[in-house]
Amino acid sequence: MAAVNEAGEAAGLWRGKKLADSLALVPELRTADHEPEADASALLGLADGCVRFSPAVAPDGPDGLFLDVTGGAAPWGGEAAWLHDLLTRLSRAGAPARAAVADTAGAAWALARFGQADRIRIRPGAQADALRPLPVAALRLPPAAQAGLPRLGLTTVGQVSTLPRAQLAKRFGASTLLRLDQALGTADEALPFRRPPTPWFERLAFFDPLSAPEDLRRAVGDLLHALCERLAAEGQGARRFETVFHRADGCSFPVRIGTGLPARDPDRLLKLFAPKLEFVDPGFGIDAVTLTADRLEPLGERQTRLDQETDVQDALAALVDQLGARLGESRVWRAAPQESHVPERAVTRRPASAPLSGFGLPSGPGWDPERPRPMRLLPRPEPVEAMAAVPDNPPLVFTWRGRRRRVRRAEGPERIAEEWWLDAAAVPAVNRVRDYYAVEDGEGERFWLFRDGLYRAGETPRWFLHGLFG
Amino acid sequence: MRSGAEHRLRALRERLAAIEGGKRTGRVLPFGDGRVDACLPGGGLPRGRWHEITGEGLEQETAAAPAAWSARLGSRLLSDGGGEAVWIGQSEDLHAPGLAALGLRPIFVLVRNDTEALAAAEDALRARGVAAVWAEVAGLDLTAGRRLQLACEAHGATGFVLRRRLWAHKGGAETGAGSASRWRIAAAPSNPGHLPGLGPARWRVWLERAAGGRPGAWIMEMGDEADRIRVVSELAADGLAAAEPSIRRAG
Repeated sequence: MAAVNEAGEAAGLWRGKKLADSLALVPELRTADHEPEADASALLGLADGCVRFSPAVAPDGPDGLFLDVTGGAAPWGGEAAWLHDLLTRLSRAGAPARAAVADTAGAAWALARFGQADRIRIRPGAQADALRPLPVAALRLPPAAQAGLPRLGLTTVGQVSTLPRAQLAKRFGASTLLRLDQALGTADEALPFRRPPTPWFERLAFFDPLSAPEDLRRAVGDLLHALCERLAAEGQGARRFETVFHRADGCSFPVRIGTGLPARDPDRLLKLFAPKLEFVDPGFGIDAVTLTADRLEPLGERQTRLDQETDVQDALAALVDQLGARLGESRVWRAAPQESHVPERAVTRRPASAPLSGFGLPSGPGWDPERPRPMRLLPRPEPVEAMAAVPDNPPLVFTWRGRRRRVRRAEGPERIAEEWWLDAAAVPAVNRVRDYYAVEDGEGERFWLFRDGLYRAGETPRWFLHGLFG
Repeated sequence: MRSGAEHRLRALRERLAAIEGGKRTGRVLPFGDGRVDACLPGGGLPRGRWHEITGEGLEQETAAAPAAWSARLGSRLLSDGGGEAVWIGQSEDLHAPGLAALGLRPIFVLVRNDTEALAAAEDALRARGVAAVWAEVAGLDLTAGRRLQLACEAHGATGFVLRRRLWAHKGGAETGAGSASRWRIAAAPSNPGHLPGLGPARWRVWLERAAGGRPGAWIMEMGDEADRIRVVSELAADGLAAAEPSIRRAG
């Protein structure tokens, strides 16, 4: 048995007891299969829900959470009230829990699991005294040490902490010493926070849960104003913002936006959030909203004189962010040349917020203007029926999409070798060559045709249409 | 007496033009050829407005000639006024090197449908630093047209709405309304003179409607960096070019 509820414990069952024994003891026992993955993902969900209490939440083992509350309990009116709110909400969400607040993660862990009460808060610096009576298991020791210490008659943390350090390390390994130091606060501990602890965190809680979309919008706006004011004070801007809506029933909805350049203009950021707020389901009401900023970069104070160039760049960056937020960031780009002979690969996409060197003008690295390139390139070349007088010449007549066209003028060929070496499956062969022609029909329409492979006697060359010049 | 009537007539004309054209920025993009500029109010393509451009025949689906002609024309807005170009399309067939050869290095925006395209076009037109916006749509109604016009007026950006009917689009699309002008563009045979190969690209250009102007039809040709687009000749009603003066060279 992996877990037992309160009623089960009252009936004399415990975790780890065999199911057959348990059923013998309590015939009316109801069981469900243990699903460790589902448990783990539920714990992560709970961790995300706890973001309202602290931006830094780390899952611990299969059944624990670490929250970094450093300086964050002020809005509740102190750590005691914070702890009360946390446990009340968890139990209301169907997850009754024990919790402890201490200077170190190790001490809090020990007190939450082995302390005398469900909820413990110890004074700063008091962890040594508080831990003394706890069993050694409270130290999160490696299994060998945890089993070995009681055999030496050392059953409490207090006993272990008085031992000579060198001998302890020699007998039970350096990690034992480290765990002890982490619990007492003489060694640091890095926790795997879901979101790294950040000072760029703002939170709003409401007595009356919100549900109207305009209220959500206003809440996000207020948070943005508060956070951006602090960012401005430190000359910083951020490129990622996340707001989390916490529902009264414990569900939480994160909404994220990103900007191409560091930003701290609350109005502009609110515009990026706005279209996404529509998808937040407020349910019976949202009672807390949090906001965190990430990917901070220095952002200079806006110059007081009207700097046209900077202004325009800002406006463009705002446009790109806005379109990216609505359509998806991959749907807004600038085209840049890429070293490749194959037309399909001659273009690479760059984030549109990075300006061209020439600012809007066709300068900077470009494509060879001497090589004609079509206005529209078909996603894949379409085969055409073509008739050429001499196999090595452009066709005289070709049929594309059911229409026969007589070639009046032509230019070419431009020989392009396929980059077969990039494609592991391809076999290097003479056929990996395309001869491109730009041709014009009687109407003046222009097409980009190619013959696949070199001409060889006895073979009908295959022709493809790859693009349209306008 | 007579001068008073003339004065009143002129005032009335101005008011009429104001009603017809909405808020005018007054700036135009002249073609540099009297035959075309005379048909357009103010002597050129009005800037800070949006223009509708359609293709002919198969071009209604591929929209290569309308795209190329408008790109070449619009590229002048970027060199003249300075600013960015934004191109909003619903398929990924636009080829950046081809566009760069016409003088345009835009920000590309890929959208899923007309609604997204028009919303993106509005945002782009409203953004400072954007001089011209191209949007490929199947159709737009009067409301969408008015909204585009309002967006154009924000900073005087010019819009080019390319009417393009992709296979995915079904049913008849509404005709664009509220545009400053409507153009139909088709390819025309080039004239390389006595040289082999292809001459500069040519287009048959119909100005089907111009607010405050009158319709016309011409043959235009891809020009060099300075003039961008050259007017070759007028196009007769039957779609044939009027006799073109043959090129003579001394020596």
